[in-house]
Amino acid sequence: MKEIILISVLRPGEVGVNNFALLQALLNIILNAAELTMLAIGSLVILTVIYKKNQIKTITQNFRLTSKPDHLDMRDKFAIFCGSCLIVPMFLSTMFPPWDFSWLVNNP
Amino acid sequence: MRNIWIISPVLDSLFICGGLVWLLYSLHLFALTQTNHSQQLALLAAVSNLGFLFISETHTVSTIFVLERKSGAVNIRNILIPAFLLAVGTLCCFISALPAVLLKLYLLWVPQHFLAQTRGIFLLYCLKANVAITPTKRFWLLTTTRLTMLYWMAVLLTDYKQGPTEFLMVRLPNWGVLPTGVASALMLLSFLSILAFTLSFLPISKNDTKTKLPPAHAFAMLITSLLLFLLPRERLDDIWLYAPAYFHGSQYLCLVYARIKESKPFIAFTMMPLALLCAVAVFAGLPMLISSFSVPLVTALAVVFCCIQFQHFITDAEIWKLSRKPVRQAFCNSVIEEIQFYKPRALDGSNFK
Repeated sequence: MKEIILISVLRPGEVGVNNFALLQALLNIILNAAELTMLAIGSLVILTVIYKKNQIKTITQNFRLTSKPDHLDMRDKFAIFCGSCLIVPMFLSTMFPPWDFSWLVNNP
Repeated sequence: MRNIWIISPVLDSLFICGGLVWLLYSLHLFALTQTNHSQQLALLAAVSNLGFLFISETHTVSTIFVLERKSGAVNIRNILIPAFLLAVGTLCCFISALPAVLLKLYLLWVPQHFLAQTRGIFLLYCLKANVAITPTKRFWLLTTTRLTMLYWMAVLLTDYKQGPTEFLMVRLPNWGVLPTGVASALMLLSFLSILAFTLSFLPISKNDTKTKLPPAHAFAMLITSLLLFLLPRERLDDIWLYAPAYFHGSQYLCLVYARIKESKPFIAFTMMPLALLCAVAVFAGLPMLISSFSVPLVTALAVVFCCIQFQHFITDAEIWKLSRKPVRQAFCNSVIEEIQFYKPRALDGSNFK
């Protein structure tokens, strides 16, 4: 998600200049396609486990996490762990500078 | 007690009736009053961009969650429209002037799509609150939204510099075919029709029983959507940073959720990540695939964007009609209120399917 934030920071003066032109941010979806896919799959896995274990019918009336970890078996815990592993890199990539692998190319 | 909200009071107020967009716009105006506001505006621009990515794009593709599989019958319209859009999209990749035309058509279509959605939600709120909308009120509601739509179209077709000159990095064609007075006249007519629509809720005679008014949040939503087109340009530039995602997109996602929560509970619960996956596949995957055939990426992006949006507009116009019983049943449990609501037109049998 680095690019979205960078685009915003680099163009503060342009904010509000052109109403519809903001849709140029559509390009962000291409720049961040891999991270967005990981985020979507990760959250889909976690939400599926929550849905199955809590018999949730609607978000507003019945949305709660189970308070008893025993309700989650090893397979569920593993699924939540995998889902989290997919989501976390996206936030890490936002907080830290992008990785630089140029030394791999520069070194003989 | 009757449930007059689509999801819940808080969610409806923020995401359907325009609470969030006004909140963000207020923060924007507040940031502008500060002497050094670049950081605040950068943060708000990030909020706007993220909203576009996670709400606007997902709302476009979430139409597929509402579609029902009909047994047997093949609707020719369901085949012809995608085929036509596919043909247009393919042509656009080869004729360099066409993507700009497609984008201009998209911009002309946007007000109709926005306003038709809010008109439908307004009627839905009236339906849920059991407020009768007579043919006169319905006429003025339709006239108000249509005139506002025509006003914005006239702006885009009058002075080239009035509307956006560039969109998705493509220079838009100059279709300044209308004289300046047309847009001004339509704006005046829009305000007059808003006045007439408001007056239509007043009792006709002194003996008339007290007219039941639509809920306040329904009015707030309608006024928000009209102001998105009728405010002065310098205000519109700012408010449109947030409106597509935090008003229109969020409205749509809430409606999709409310409509499928009973029939498809699992999809409703996991709707956002599913929609995000679809959005990435469509808005990133397809343009990249097309660009691998030596088509410029920006052109591919613009063409895919327009074709998907057109499909979304056309499909929406069909699947969200409140005159259809399954649509009303998905939002309202009671049968009595819908009959009462549709009584004026249902009497001639034209409105029920």
